[in-house]
Amino acid sequence: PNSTDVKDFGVADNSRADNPGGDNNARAVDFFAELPFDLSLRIMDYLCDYDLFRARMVSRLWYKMVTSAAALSTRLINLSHFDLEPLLPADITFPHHNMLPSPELEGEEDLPSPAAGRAGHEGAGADSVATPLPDAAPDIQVEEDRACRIDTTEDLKRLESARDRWLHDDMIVEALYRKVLNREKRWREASPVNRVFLPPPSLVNSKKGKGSSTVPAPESTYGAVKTIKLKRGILCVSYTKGTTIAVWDLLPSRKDWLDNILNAGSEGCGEDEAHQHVGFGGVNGNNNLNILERDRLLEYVNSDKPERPALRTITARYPIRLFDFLPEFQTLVTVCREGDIEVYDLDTCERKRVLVEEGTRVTAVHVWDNYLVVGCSTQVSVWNYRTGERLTNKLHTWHRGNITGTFILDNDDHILSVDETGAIGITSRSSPTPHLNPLLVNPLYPLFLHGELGAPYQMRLLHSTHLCVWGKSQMGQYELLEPNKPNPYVMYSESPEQNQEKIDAAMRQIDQIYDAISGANYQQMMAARQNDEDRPARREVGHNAPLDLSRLSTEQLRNRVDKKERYTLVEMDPRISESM
Amino acid sequence: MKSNLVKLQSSDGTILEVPQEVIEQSKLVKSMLADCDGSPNEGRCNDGNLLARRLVDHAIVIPVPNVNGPVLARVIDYCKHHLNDKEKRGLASALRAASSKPSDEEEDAAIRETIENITEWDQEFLKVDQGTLFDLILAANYLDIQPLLNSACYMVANMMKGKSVGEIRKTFNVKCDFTPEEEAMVIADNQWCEDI
Repeated sequence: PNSTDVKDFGVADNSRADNPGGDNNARAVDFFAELPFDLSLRIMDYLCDYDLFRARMVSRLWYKMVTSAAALSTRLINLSHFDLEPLLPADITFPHHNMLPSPELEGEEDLPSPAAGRAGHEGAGADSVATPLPDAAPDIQVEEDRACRIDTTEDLKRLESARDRWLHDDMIVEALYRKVLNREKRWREASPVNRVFLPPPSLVNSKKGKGSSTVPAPESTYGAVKTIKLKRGILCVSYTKGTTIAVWDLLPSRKDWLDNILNAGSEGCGEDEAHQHVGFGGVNGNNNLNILERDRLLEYVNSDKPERPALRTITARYPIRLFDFLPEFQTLVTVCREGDIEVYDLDTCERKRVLVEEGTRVTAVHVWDNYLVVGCSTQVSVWNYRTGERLTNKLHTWHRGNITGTFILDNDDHILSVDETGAIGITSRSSPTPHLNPLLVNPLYPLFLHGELGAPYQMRLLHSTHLCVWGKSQMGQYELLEPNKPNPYVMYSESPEQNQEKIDAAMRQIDQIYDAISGANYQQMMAARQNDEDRPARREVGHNAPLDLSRLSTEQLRNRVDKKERYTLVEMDPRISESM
Repeated sequence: MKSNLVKLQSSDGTILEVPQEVIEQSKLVKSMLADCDGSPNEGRCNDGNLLARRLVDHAIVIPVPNVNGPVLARVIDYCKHHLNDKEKRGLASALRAASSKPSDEEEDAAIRETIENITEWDQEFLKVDQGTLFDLILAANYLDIQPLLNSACYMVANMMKGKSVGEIRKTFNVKCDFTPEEEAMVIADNQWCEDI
């Protein structure tokens, strides 16, 4: 049992609390007051944010329990899974994965990358699949590196300690959680959080990494902005011309802030502060934040003031067609027209590795954890970009158009992908016969645009389940429901009966989609698509041949996923999105 | 084949006989039986086989000191109804174990699974007064019957959903102990939430 709290388990009596409700509430029980705390937390797990925060207005005890870190930290972590603005410094969120291993140090598992700064690396081994960099100069002194590693270990411990402790501080967690929810609110209202002017890189004295050029290229060589991506306060911009990616750190002072807070207590504190400060190292073994630490953290969390962005540039060998990056692991990946996939260190701008997808055109790229997911026409490959190992080689999907966006889901097995027609599907890496799970086969936007600026359909997966898919002029928000998971409509609605009807309708719609794919309706659907006057005359690689509908139908029937194993996609209701 | 019966003694002295496979939905009881059912070579119980035989032969009564008779009877009713879910649960837990997920995720998945599987029978079963529901939660927690515990907690949460603060206070018989200043502060502090 989770709790050993022993009470008088007789029938609830009136003496447990005052009885303002009269006889009708004679057996009413204040569950939060009477139950052990861990059981109260279980009850809170089933409340949406709205109900939870309203519950804290009930009494002092309820307020304390609802705003406790134990109640909110799990919710915060769940919300913080993907692509947050930097609520906390990324260095602290993922201290283990600060940097890529350097190719020249592969095999020396105990040594971190020379550019690793404070963090160690995880001992990635070399792999023959990866193309070694001919120009990678092994100019690292081993002795210096070992000295650096000692600092790394100590700093890492402090960072971990700090992270663990503030995630257990009620005030910090509540402030963070509130910020997350408000962020979602701002997002829906489309009101800008702040405005930052980002000039062309040639006008800025950029911070140069080892892999970047020494002189910024003239403005005329950049062309127009082609793609921007923002993750954790890092904004990357690619251009239609040239080989440069501008990496803007929108919150450059966070590292200074981090240094200050880690070193607080020894410097810059008055006598009053010094006697109460123990530092994040926890010299007295106390795991609670002191007042100074808490104030500084709250100041950081609640600050939305724009900072002066810092720029560094990454210069690729060839013009960049696609890119993606992962600030937590300090990794940026580019795809050039020739098909080479280059892996860069986001911090030092060094090129770490070159991977080659032979024979097909790369149409999508995504970095998550150690995975590099590459969409090649209608196929998907998965690499370990740290080791250069190809984990999955050109897995066939059910897409009939070029894949334009891919994600690998948390189970490390299922790959979510969207193609240029706006269709979304799931493909399993592990299944010998690929499990094909089409989620959305109707294009989000009927017009078809395929120009130099890239495919019209892209997607982002936020907070594990919140799927944003956008086309030329429309964005859809969906809830991606895993198999065998309860539907949030059931969990968070005041009227489960009505919502169950919605769920049933959604499931019927999904069944109809399956039927359409596997039955005669598929031909009708495809004919309608062909009539789209904006559809280009020919397809990309692999789609020049006419569709064999009977074969396709047979394949879909064979690969049809059992209903219980299917992912489902439910269009998001605004109120539900609030609750999530 | 006749199943083995186990005797349980509640806090008020009531002794209830229950089939072993029914009460084994309680991980507490199951572990007690398993600890004494191991072979002597495993070293868990010197005379394990003998003790286990005595448990199921009614020579020994398993005390359940934290649960009174009526509540224990209701818990047994629940276990009897969900007896056929045993294989399903076993498979699900085996899958979860094989997936090597972190324990928090396992627990979370178990909770979600339970909620998804709440049946009409469960809802009727849990439509009891709050005192009984409270006792059921504690009993399920003590006996470690996670599906019942999750279902009961979900029912309590449902009582809070969509209610105003005043209604929650009335429902759970909670007295507002905020000072006027504190209450004003909490209301103001909650404004961001109420605006949603």
